[in-house]
Amino acid sequence: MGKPRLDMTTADRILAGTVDPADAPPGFEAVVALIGSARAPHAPTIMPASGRAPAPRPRRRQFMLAAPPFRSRLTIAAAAATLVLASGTAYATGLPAAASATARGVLHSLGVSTGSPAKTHSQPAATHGATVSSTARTTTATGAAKGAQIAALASNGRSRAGQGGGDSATAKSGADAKGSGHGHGAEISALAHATTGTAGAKGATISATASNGRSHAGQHGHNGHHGGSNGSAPAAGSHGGASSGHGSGSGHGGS
Amino acid sequence: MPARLPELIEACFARLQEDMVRYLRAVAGADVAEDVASQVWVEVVARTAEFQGDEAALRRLIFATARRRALDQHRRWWRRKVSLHPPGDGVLERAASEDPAVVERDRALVWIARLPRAQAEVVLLRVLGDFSTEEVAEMTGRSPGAVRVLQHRALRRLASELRRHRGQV
Repeated sequence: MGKPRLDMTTADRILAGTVDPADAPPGFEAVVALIGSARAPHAPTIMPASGRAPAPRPRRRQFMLAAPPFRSRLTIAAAAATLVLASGTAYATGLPAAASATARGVLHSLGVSTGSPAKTHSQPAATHGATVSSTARTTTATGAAKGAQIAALASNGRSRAGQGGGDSATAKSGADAKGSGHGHGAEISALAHATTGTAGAKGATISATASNGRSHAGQHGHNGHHGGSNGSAPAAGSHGGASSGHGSGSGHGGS
Repeated sequence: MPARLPELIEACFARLQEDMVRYLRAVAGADVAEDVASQVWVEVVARTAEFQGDEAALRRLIFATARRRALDQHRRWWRRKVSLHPPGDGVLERAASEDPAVVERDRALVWIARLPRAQAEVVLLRVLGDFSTEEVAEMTGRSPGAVRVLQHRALRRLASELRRHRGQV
């Protein structure tokens, strides 16, 4: 038997799956069968209803669905969740804008909203502490009212100092308030007047007292980031005043 | 078109994932095929924003991405200074399939994977990806004529190998 012959067109048809093993060129029957095996569809996961003959299995791949839709949905959802997580992390940690923009673009194309690109402070952190300190020195308010004013300024209006625990009209004096656990602002106000320290040291002293020692104002490593102190500083809702210890970064209470 | 992309990707995943893993097992190694396939889908999803085309174009994009990632994997492996295990066929690490059709199919793909790399790649793209000669040529950066020559040689070599190992198929 001579060497089997195969022309280019037949080779192309064999790989396209249009040559039956019975019609294969001599010597290539096994090859056609092997290529046919390699193209064989997967076993269907859903069997046709009993009582009827199963439909003939199509040759072309586009009808050979095997994986259940749930699996693919799960994968797409997992990919989207990963991208959301990665995008959120990139956003939080300040990765290069290009990386975040790419992730946002991908999520946007998938119909996932990623929110606004950046938060803005109402005032630069570097000058916030100086403003609070200046107000504490120059305001004409006294007692709890003064504390509430400073707390509101220090927290950008989020502080509820002076509310709930007693309004300014019914606020007790500083000494009374201290004795009953309210009126903390008066004490802070007096401290702000009496402290002889300057700039960051004074701010740190006042902030530490206002937050019952939880504030890290004046310490290194925060650099004006806003998030570090919000969780640890009291809202001053029951203290009746004070500057809430909000300023943990170098900006808050820094001067 | 972009509004349909998630559904299109989902359909392509359901249809192509298993075959793409088989392709990657042959050209990149069985031990890394699943990982490379995951990278392929992440890359495909990331590129959907700039994608324009129909399902056939998306299938070409997916397999072209798989081919690039497989090449990257090979380059990475050759750059490694120490390798305890070459990226071979990790048969023992795979769960055994009891489906005779799947077993037969995998056995056939092992025969194809033994071909020289370029020939194996062309045959696998034609068989698993169901691409035409022209599409394979475009994906591999060859001319259609070169692809026809490769697939012709591949089939002749397969026939020769099967004759030598008659009874093993």
